[in-house]
This record gives sequence, structure tokens and C-alpha cells, in this order.
Amino acid sequence: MESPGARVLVIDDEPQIRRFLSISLSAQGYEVNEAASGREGLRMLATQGADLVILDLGLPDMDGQQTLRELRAWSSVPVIVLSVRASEAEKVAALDAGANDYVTKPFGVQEFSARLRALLRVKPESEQPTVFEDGHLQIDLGRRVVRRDGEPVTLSRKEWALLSLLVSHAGRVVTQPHLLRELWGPTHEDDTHYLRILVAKLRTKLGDDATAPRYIQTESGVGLRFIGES
Amino acid sequence: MQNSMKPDRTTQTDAPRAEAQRERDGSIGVASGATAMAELAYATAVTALAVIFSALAERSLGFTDLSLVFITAVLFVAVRTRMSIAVYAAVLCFLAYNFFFIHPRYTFYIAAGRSVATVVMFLVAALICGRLANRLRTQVILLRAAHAHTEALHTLGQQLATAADEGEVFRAGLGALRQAMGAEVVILSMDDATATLVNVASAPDDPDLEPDARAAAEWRLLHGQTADRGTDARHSPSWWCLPLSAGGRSLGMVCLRFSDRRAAPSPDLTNLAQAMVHAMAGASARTRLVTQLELARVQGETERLRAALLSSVSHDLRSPLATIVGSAESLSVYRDKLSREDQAVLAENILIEGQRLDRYIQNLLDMTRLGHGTLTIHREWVGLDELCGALLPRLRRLCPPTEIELQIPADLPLLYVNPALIEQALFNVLENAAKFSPSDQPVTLSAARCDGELQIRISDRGPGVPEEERQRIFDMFYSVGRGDRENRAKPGTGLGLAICQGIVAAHGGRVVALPGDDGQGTMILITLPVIDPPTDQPREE
Repeated sequence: MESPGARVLVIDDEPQIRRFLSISLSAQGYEVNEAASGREGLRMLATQGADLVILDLGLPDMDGQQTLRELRAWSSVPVIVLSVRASEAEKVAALDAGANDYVTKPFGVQEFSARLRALLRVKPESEQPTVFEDGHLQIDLGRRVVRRDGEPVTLSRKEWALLSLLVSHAGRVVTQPHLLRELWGPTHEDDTHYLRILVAKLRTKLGDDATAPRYIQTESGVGLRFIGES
Repeated sequence: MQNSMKPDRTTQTDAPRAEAQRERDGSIGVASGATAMAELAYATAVTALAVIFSALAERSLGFTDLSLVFITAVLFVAVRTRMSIAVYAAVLCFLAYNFFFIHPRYTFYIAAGRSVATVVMFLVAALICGRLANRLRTQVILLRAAHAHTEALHTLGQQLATAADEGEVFRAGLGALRQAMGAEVVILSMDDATATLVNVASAPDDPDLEPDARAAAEWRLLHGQTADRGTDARHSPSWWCLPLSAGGRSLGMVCLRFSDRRAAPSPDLTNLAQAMVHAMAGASARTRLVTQLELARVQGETERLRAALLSSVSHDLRSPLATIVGSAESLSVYRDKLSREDQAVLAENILIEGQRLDRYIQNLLDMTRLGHGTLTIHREWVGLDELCGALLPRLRRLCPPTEIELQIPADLPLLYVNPALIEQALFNVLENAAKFSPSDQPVTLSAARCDGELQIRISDRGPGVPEEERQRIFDMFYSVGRGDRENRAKPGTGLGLAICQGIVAAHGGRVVALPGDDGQGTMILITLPVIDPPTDQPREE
């Protein structure tokens, strides 16, 4: 287990969802707290703290997005939001409001656990540069070096900016509007073709295949995710 | 008075008829005073001209020849006026001829016996000529009127033939009647449900006309009179009502009121009105029938869809639920008696069926969103290769044994679509292909740009789709019927391809099913318009 004993707070109004998450997360060695509403969740986070928050976007007392905004006002704890499918805009909004990742309901426990591990691995306070290495590809964000099968890869400035954004959020989705803002500025948020062209170039240089990605995964309508497991 | 064929239709249809009318009514001098005076003056003037001409021609012609001049004058008057005026002209010419040219001149006395015979024969000839010429004229006028009637009926017939609904039929009829009859027209339609007259159309468009006409029409309807004008006239003096009926069924009533408040027009106008009303009734019955047929068809279609939806919901929701409930209960109640393997199998069952239920519900939701037309497409640029990269893992989890072969050229243009929707559309087609393809044969997805369009072909090596069903596989719930008959082993909701079609159509594209390349299997061809990306390039460096 990556983070044995890490404390997870589940905020969801469905008792069945809380129960199965509690059982399966406990089985993996996490310590689980449950809250049935946004208010209760925020209170528990404030009083007892947590290493990670699982937040349902459809809560009865206050909108999940609002809970997220209030939470982000005073806490930087990693947050995974639970959302229903076919609402890409909602996902993007939650991610932009400070959520660290999302999972679509109904979700598989294995996929969910993988997201959880990825988030707990990257502690916000650990600002030290990440190094990625899988035998083919080596990315050192601190030294700004990318090697493919030992050969150095020359990246343009934008390609490098994109890669470092993705790698520093490895395992997590980075939204398209966020990438466009970071790379080209706020006036280019809708110029999605910029990103497509850049991603295609980057994939080619990394030896990645868009149809069967090993490194950069496209999440349709949401953003990009660096999936390489080091 | 000459009746030239003017282009103005009103004049063309009305004037000759009025004249013919006057011809019949007024041959014994009932014509209005002003017209009669004008015609008498005309006859007199023509006679005077004949006298002057004869005086000038007298030197070269004999007095018997001069009678021809006067006969011509009578003919002239006869072809242009009524019979009575022709007789007047004949008598006047006879007197003038006698007075001015027969010896002794300037008296009405006739000296020579031969001259008496000439003058009397002249009178007889003038009268006969006048009569014949006048009858010819009447016939020409009547022919013109008949022609105008036929023309009006023909025009109406053309308008009625193209009328799509009863409203158009009434509008066409209203216009034609108003023009041909020159009367105020009110059309009342019979409401089948309440058996009352409703749906009023009137010309000129005056709301005051309607209650008056309705009262007359209702009286008419109540008393069930045939076209007995006398009876009608007594009870509804100003309105002339014609029933609109076809096949023995009353469809409504047409009411006419003439400017001179006559109860009914002349027989030929009556015939024209009746022919027009008859044509309207036929067209009206036809449009009602078409409406009813369309209604029945839509109802049948709705009923079929409802039945399919019910059967789909009951089958596709209940079967996974039955497995889930049964497996979960077995696990919960008999856990201690089950081997670890059996427990694993039951848990697996719950998982698989739960996922199936999720897909089904998602399909229903997608369909509902598409069906309501509320789907707003948020487009962005995305590569087909990226979409495949996102959907293939999902597909592999679902149909692990089937291999998917991709043939996507590197220079394929970007798509400007809603990525999640197009991903779902491709997913549905691939899932369907994988379901029917033998597991040792790959399903291929190839793409190419062709004539400004992007063509995506998804081919399987399955049993194929018979030609007559290729269109229907995109119908909602279609595969349900097929699945029930043939194979429960390949469950489907029958929504996947319908959703794909809905999504692709919402993007301005189309989907067709074709036979596989060598006649085996099925190829689904998705065509999407290629939109060129903005020409501005991303700033590099």
C-alpha cells in the first residue's frame, strides 16, 4: 500500500456508496471517515482533518461545487469529485474550482484506488521536482531533461511547458481550459486546435500513440492525463 | 359595349355573364333605362349614317341596291345590341329607306307596286338578319362566359389539387368564389366531434359577416333543404347557402350574398358555384382523409415505439437486476456454504450485470437527450486517433476477446465535434460490431478524407445485415425484436445505433449500413463534414 493509514473523508449522501467505499478503502488500509452532507463534511474536515477528500457533486444540502469552493477557501487537501457521466462541463468546472481529480459514477474500485494513490503520492507541499522513468522514457522536470531510450529529446518551449504541467500532475487529469490558459493565456481558452496540434507533436517526440497512449491520455471533452506509472 | 378580352379576370368572367344574363332577362326590354337609351341612340346613329352613305352613293347605285346598305346597318346594330334594339333598327331603317329613297321621296307613301314588294321584302330581310345576327352574338357571349367559367373552375381545381390541408382548400375556394361570383362569401366547416359549424373563412375579411351567414347556414342545415331557392329566400333572404358534402357526409356550408341582395344568381352562375363547391368538398374530404391517415400512422408508430420501449425496459432492466439480486442474496444468505470460487463467480456476476445496467440506463438517457432536440453541441477540436485512444480501453473491458484494428492516416484532419458524443457514437458502433463479429476476427476502423468529408468505416466479419433491414437497424429498439427471436446470448438494447445516428446527425453527418468489403459482414459508414481549423497557428516560442 502506498500510504497506509492515510485518512480519507467521504462526503456523500448515499449511505450505500459510503458503506462500500468505507469497506473497500478500509480493506486497503485507509482510515475512513464519513459525512452525509456538505456542512457535516466541512465541519469534520475542519475538526478532524484528512489526507484526502472524496466529494459527491450531487449533495442534498449544498451544491457540491459550492462545498468545493468553501473547502478550497481554507484547505489544500486533495479532493476527488464523484460525478455522473455526460456532464463534461460539470467535471471541468469542478476541476477548475480546485478539485484534483474526478471519477464518474458508477466507478470501479480498482480505477478509483489508482486515482486515490496517485493523489496521495503527490503531496502538495512536496515541491521538489518530479522524475519520471519507465525504461523507455526519462523525464526530469528539475533538470529539464527528456530522454527517449537514452537519446535526449529536444522539445520546444511550449512542448516542454505542456509536458511539465502534465507530469507534475501525473495520474491526474488537467483540464483543457487550464492548459490553454497556462500555455497561451486567457484569451485562447477556446482555441482547442492549438492544444491538439501541440499534443500531437509532443506525442510523436515521446514515441507515444494517440490510439493506444502510454503517456498522454485524452479524456474526451475534459482534458489530458499523464498516465505513465513510474 | 364591345366586350374585349381584357386580362383582368374579374372583367373577363363577370362582364359577358352579366350581358348574357341581361340578354335573357331583358330581351323584351327590361334592360335598365340608361343602357336602353344608349342602345337606341346607337341604333338611330347607325341608321342616320346609312341614310347619309346612301345619299352619297345614290348616283352610282340603284334604289334596290341601297337596301343592302340599310341591311348592313341593321346587321351592325344586331350584333352589338339586344334583339329589341335590332327590331327597332330594322323598323327605323325601313322607314328611312322608304322616306328618303322610295318615290315619291320624303313621304311614307309608296307609288310603284314593285317598290312596295322591295320595301316589304327589305323589312322581312332586316328582321331575319337582325334576329340571326343577334342570336349569334348571344351564343358568342354565352360561349365566352362558359369559357370563363371553365377557366375559373380549372384554376380552382389546380389550387385544390395542391392544397395540403383543409385550410388551404377553404382559402382557394374562398378566393375563387369571391372572384367568380362577385359576392360576399363565408365558408363554415363542420366539426366532426361536435357536429357544429366552425372554422370560418370569409371574404371580404369582415367579422360581421359570419354570425349572419352562420344563422342562415344553420337554418339551412336544420331544415335539410335541397337547393330550393324559393324556400331559402323566404327564411334567409340575403344568404344563399350551398352544402359542402362528400360521400353523403356533411363537411360544412358555403354561404354567398350578392351585392344586389338577390337570393340566388342565374342558372349558369348557380351551376358554376355548385361545381366550385363540389370541387371544394372533394378536396376537403381528401385532405381530411390524409390528416386522418397521418394521425393513424403516427399513432401506430408511437404505439409500436411504446411497446418496444416497454418490452426493452422490462427485459433489459429486469434481467441484469434479477442476476444482481439473486447473486447478492446468495452471497448474503449462503455465504458460509459457498466455496471461495462460487463466491467469486457470484461477485463477478453482480459486477458484470451492474455494468450492463449502467450502459443501458446511459443509452436511455442519451436517447432522451437526443430525442428532445435539446442537445446543444459544444464543439472543440480533437483528433480521431485521440478519441479511439479514449474509447478503446472502455471497449476492451467490455468485449475483451475482440481485436480492434485501426487504420487512421497520420494526416487525417482534426474533427470539430463534441468529443464525448462522437466518442460515444463510435463506441456504440464498435460495441455492436464486436458483439456480432467472431471473436477470432478483428473489427476494423478506418478513416479517410473524401470530397470535403471525413469517412469513418467500421467493418465486422459477422453474419451481416440483410439489405431490407439495413435502414431499420438504426431504428430505436430495433434489435430487441431480433434479439428476442434469435439470440439472447447477445443482449442489446437496440438503442446503440439509433444513438449513433442521432449524434452523427446532430453534427451534420450521416450513418449508413453497407455490406462488408467482400460481401461478408457489415460495414457501418459514418460521414462527417470536414471543417478546416482556423488558419492562425499557435505561437511557438
